[in-house]
Amino acid sequence: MKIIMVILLVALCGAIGYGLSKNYSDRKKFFYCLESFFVVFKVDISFNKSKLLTALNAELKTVKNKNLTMLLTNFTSLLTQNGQLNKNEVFKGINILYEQEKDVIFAFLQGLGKSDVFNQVQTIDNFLFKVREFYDVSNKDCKKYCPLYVKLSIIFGLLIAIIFI
Amino acid sequence: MLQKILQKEIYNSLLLKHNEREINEIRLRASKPIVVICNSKPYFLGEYGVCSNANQAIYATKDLISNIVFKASDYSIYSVNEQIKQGFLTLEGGIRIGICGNAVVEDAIKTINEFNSVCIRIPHLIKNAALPIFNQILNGGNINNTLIISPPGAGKTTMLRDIVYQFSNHNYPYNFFIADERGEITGGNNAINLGNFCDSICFLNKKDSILFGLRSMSPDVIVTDELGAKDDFDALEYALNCGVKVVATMHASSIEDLKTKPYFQKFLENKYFKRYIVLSKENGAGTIDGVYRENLTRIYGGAI
Repeated sequence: MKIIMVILLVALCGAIGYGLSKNYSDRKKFFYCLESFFVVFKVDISFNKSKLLTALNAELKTVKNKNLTMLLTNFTSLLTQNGQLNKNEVFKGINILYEQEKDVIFAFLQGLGKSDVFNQVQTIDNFLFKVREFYDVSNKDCKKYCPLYVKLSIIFGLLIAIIFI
Repeated sequence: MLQKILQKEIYNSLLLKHNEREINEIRLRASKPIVVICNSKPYFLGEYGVCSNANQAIYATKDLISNIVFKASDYSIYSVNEQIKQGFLTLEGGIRIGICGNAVVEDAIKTINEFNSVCIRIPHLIKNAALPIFNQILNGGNINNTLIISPPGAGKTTMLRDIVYQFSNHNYPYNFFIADERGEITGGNNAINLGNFCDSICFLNKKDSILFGLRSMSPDVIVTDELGAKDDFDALEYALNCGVKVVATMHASSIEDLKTKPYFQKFLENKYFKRYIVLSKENGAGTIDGVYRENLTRIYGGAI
């Protein structure tokens, strides 16, 4: 009985640790998916000159990342409603980004669709460069903090188990 | 379609006293009152509908005009830049938006930006507009090469569309190839129904379109709009020499004016066109002023 309780306690603490570190892993996944998405999008508009909403909606179906889906859904619905973008509305429901990252993404979205193909592709390339930087930072953070949080919470769980059980 | 590109308040004001079918044209100029042509008459657009007083009118802004162009492009300026470079955008249904702004030039025109005025022309399919002259085009089972001429806004394109439609409607299975440089004839993506025997290429210059059609679609008739450049006439002459019939339009106020057009002399001398249809706005757009033979003698005339 005590062994089961210890196992459960350690597992619970481990899960809490995982939950606390989830922010870092979500950020890493978000930037990874964001980069992949716009690499494909760039090809779509440069070769097919597909309309913005058509290309976004088609590729949105393949996106598995919840935060990216929310971002793009907010963007497309704001665009079609009144053509005006509001930063708070674009990032509604997305809590994993820092202000600087939001500024970069918002500036990019504001300029999407407003220039010729050559300049649009260049804008996307510049954006992808920034996204890669964000990914690298989030990846480092994830490698540093995710195992740390899990290990610390497991140790904490073991300590509790030792002291009280 | 208008509802999609116009700001909600402007669209609602537009429809307070008229319905969409009565609106021919909307002109928006930065810092100027919005002008609307309804039933061929000009008005200003006010908060409570069209009015005659400029002081009651809604004034357009640069932002408003830019938004219209952006929405008209489906939020994708890059996909329509080739049209913008030529100063227009064509929307579904054949709505044509003429664009003015600053041209960006590097050897050739790269784009137009800082849009400062737009002219939204709304076509209305008028069925049977071509019936009075249909028998002039049809020549005992064959088709006469026909040129429709008029000043701007007198209904050439509407007449052209109906001619194509009537052939299908009367079950004449001639294959029509439409060289639709601006997407106005077919409304782009065949949005306008022109019958069962039509093929079209949109947004490609007439010369390449016509050669493309001749090589790949075995047309009986080539249809095109607004002849003017030398290349247009060269391509048409090639098509005529291939045995294909032609129905086309051209800007000219009268037969006398037509005779002065550059590049057209050869067509007059060789009598390539067997029928000339002259339109005017005398009794509204689409008024048939006269029908002429290849030697420019009148078959019948007077406004119809």
